[in-house]
Amino acid sequence: MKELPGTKVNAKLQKAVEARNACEKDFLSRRNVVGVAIGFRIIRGRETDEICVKAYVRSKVAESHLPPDEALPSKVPADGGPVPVDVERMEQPVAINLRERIRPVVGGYSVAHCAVTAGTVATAVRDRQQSAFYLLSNNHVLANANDANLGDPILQPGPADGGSYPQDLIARLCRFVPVRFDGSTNLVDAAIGCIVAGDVERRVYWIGEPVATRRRAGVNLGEQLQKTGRTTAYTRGRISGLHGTVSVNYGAGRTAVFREQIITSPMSEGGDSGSLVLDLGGNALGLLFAGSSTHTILNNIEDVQTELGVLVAETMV
Amino acid sequence: MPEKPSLERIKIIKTRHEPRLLKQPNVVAVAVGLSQQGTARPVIKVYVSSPSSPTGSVTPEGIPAEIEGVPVEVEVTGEFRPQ
Repeated sequence: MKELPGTKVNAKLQKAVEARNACEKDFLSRRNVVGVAIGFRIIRGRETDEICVKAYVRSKVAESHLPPDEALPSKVPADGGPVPVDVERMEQPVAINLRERIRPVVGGYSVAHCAVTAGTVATAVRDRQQSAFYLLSNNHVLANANDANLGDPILQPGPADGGSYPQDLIARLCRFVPVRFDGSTNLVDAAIGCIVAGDVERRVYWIGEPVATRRRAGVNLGEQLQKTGRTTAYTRGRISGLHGTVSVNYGAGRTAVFREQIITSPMSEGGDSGSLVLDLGGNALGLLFAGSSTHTILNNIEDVQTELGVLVAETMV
Repeated sequence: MPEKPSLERIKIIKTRHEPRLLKQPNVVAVAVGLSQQGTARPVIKVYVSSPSSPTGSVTPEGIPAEIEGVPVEVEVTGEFRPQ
């Protein structure tokens, strides 16, 4: 009988799966092992096409330094012959918590002025004139909705997530666009902090560095968007309204009207304010600042750049 | 479909009528959006914080069904707050 292509590989895979299933419990009972799988064997740093059982360990230790019950066998028996065991190092995966302290700081994590609860780091931005870098978020996150002084401490994580001064100081308030509550219209709820302790990266957690800044005029209804924020982490939404004139209730009888806002399907909750919102190509498009249970509201990122005199990315598309 | 020019026209009409629309009770936002009637054509969206009548009708008095030939759709959104 002629052998069908792939049958040999399938038989080898089958054998490896059997071996993996047989040793899984035993391997995972060792303190150093964080995972078991099947994969291609790596010999002297190069991947071969030999299928093996993979044991992922926190640290690779010579067998002679291990207690006998911690050492891993070099082969696992299976029907049709033993399957080799390959040991690879892997950090133990952890569930991501964007409310924690992190250095260097990346977009998507908790941040706030010392008198505010918590919002989100958008990204690092550059001054248009000089080569100075700042942390970007909303006015109501970094400047307490106008009730802050330049130089005030900005903490990562924000106070609601356990951030305290001076241990968690990351930046000091250095520029904000005042929110007008007098009935005249606003374009953005935005502020920046001068980075004074530790570093802030342009990278947004799970999404990456913003590729370019989207021009306001090129934004379309129906576009899909993504963001990472302190409360709801990675979410996607869709643009349902453009050129929005939106009335936002800041509490204590203060209402502010914003024009040229982007309205999306719900993609945020309290604490996500300040999140950088990107298209699916990774271009920055909005700064998340408000919402209800049915919609999320974004400032146009081009307006954020103009109003603050900063750049989120070097190019515009 | 001449989508671009008609979107531009809707934007101008929206801007012209917006001050009056925003003065109506419960109206929290006005925008250009896509119809939710399954046609996906651009319309003027009026967002209200709550239904205007106990019968559940969402359209407050003073919001016409159409402005200068552009359909008006009302959506209940609740109140917008900083997040």
